[in-house]
Amino acid sequence: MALLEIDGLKVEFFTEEGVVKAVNGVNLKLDRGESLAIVGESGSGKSVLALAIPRLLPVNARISGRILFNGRDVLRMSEEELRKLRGRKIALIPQNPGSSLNPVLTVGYQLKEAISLLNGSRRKALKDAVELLRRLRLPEPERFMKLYPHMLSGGMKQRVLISLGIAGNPELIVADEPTKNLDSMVRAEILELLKEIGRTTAMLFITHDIQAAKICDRVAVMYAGEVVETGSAKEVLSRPAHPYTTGLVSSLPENGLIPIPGSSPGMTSLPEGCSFYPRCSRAEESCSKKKPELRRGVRCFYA
Amino acid sequence: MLEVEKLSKSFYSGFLIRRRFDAVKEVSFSLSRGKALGIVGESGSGKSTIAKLVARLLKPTSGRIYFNGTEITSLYDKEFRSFRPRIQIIFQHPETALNPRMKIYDSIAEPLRIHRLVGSRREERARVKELIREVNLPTELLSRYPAMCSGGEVQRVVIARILALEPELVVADEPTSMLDVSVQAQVLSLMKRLQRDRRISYLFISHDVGVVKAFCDEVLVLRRGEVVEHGKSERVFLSPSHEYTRRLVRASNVSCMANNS
Amino acid sequence: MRGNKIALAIVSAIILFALFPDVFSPYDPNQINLDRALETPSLKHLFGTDNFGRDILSRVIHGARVSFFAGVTIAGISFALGTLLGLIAGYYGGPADELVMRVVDILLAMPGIIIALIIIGILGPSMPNLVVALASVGWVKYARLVRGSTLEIKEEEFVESARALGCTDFYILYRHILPNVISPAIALATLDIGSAILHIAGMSFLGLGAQPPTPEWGIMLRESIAFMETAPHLMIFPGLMIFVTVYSFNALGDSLGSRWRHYGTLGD
Repeated sequence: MALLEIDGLKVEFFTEEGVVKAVNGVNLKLDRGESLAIVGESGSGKSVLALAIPRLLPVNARISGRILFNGRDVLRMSEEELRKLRGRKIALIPQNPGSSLNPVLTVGYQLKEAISLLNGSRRKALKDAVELLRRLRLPEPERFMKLYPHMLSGGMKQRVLISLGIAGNPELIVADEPTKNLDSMVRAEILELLKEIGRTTAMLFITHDIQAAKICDRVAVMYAGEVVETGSAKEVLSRPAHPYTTGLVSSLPENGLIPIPGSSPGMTSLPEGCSFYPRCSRAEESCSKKKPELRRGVRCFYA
Repeated sequence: MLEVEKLSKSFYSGFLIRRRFDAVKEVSFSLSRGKALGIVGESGSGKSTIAKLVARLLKPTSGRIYFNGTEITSLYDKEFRSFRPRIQIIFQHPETALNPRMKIYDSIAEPLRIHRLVGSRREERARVKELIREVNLPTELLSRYPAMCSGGEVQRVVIARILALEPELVVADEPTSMLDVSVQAQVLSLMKRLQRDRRISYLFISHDVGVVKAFCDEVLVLRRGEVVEHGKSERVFLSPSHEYTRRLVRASNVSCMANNS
Repeated sequence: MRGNKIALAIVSAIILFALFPDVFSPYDPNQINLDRALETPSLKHLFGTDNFGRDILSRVIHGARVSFFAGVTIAGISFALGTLLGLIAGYYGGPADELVMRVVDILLAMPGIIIALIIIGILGPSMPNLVVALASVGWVKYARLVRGSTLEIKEEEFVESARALGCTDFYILYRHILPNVISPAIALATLDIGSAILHIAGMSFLGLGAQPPTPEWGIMLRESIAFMETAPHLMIFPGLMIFVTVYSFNALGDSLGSRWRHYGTLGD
């Protein structure tokens, strides 16, 4: 049985401007110890997807479909069951390390708090916290624990967040854009770290940077709320099948910075037919009329 | 066109004991018309400070800057006013790049108004439309507020504003660091096109080696305020001579490396 | 939210009374009629009459004019002066900032009422002098507030961009900084009107503001003390008016403050 199985997930938000279809029918599977990268632009629905799994979406979200974790549907669990799940079985590493840490508490305090909450033991918490920091290659862990968040660089804060995430030995880690806003040197280090963690723990790695997806086993490319291509990381990145994926790969600096013309559709006005049609170089008239299905890992009539 | 000679900037802080922080230490370089010079370094290397010094948002502690042969560092603010339109700057954060209380139309019209480049309302409207089209954005965007625009759209509006003044030198301080990779490509290809069509020179500041390699002809590697390497991007990145440069290049390649497990 | 509709309704009523007191007053507020003195509320005199036979309802309505205009003037001057000084102190820093902040600190170290009393002592008791006195102390809280916001905003990239574009300092202050710092100050001003009205009533009660025979709520309260036990309605209605008015302005100020709480800072 797969660790995580997402079946026909739809997430809609009711706003003043209309219904926003953030996630429009996504199917995914993740096995134990497997890492999957979800790649997409801002507005593709990837963060909403990530937050839906531990059910951390705002109250005006309308969710339908199933999210099976170890066979049980997260969307039908009670608050009590969800609390046991969050942090322990499913850990979220959020974006924005700057605002995710409490500025008036030391790093050590926040770590110990998380550990003792998750593992139940307050005495071992200090030892465990130091061990965790060491695992994340933070220098002089004992001294580090006494620091406050504002004294840390972006990269260090991100590492603290990751350690908070793995503190409970979760079965699934959901990392939401963990390398945004980081310098390339620091980014490389964090990616190495995540790759290592991904070897033993199942990981869902959300990113807009298709390059970073290389640290995962598999990749799912999202566009306008749908998965448009899936496959092994190597395959998708070296031989992209969907025109959007091809576009993403071409827009990388080392491939010439070739942009994809146009812009992502606003989420309130999704077109009929293929959502990528207006920007697609391989499109035919028929693409605008009918929506392609996901076949052999690609959602395109011409792949 | 731009000559920077031994530019230094120190910051002083502290109440009773004055502490000195040397952000930029005797940096020199030159930039010709229509070329792009990149400045790479980690955060804290001083690259943003150099950007602000060249754009005259900060005054140097020592050193000189020459623009088209004229020494501009010792000019008074009033004397510098005529140079202002020719040297412009793009910043990193799209969320705060535009006044949140002003419509996009007004933000683009602003430089036209303050430098009195247009005579009538009608002329102004026409010029603003021209500018927004030049950056490949729809005219519907003009009536919106910045909060309703995506990062890529905001950065392009910023470019449109700058174009109104027909600059010769554009200092770009991490203009795409906050943007998605695909949007980055759009903004950078726009900037490249403008470089060709209007012979604009760029001082391109970034921490991203890959981007600088693709965008800039020449590059300066900055470490803690000092230049450690300087040369054509091809050469510097393919066969770096300084250890620090090697480290930077390696880090960017790591993110490019295939998954070897 | 419903409470706010009531507050809004009351404030609107006060404003109407202030603008068109003669329309709403059944009688001339200063019309003396000794044979109808001290009458309890009746259909003819809804709020009764005072010791001079003057209709209390009409006096209360005219009192709204006095209180409202004076209150708005005080809040307005404080707002304008404080905002201006706050902008200058925050934007230019250095000696300008030092000067403004020292004055602010000094004024905050002494109770505002005492200073106002001193000023009245020097200028003499009258409504205009009271307005001057209260405004001289009132601007301080705006200066602090606006200075803080200005310090934050002036570091933002769009302000630096404006400088790079060649905008003058004055233009930047007016077009870029002011609109982004003013909302909390406006909310404060609305609250301030209520507080000003209270101070006016208080000082006039002490005889240091409006002078009789002006129909002002504070004066009316003072004149009603002698009749507290025999004719309490002389005290009740002005007192009630003060309470209701100040409360409504406060409620309005609060709701504006919470609705605009995001506007003082950038981003969402």
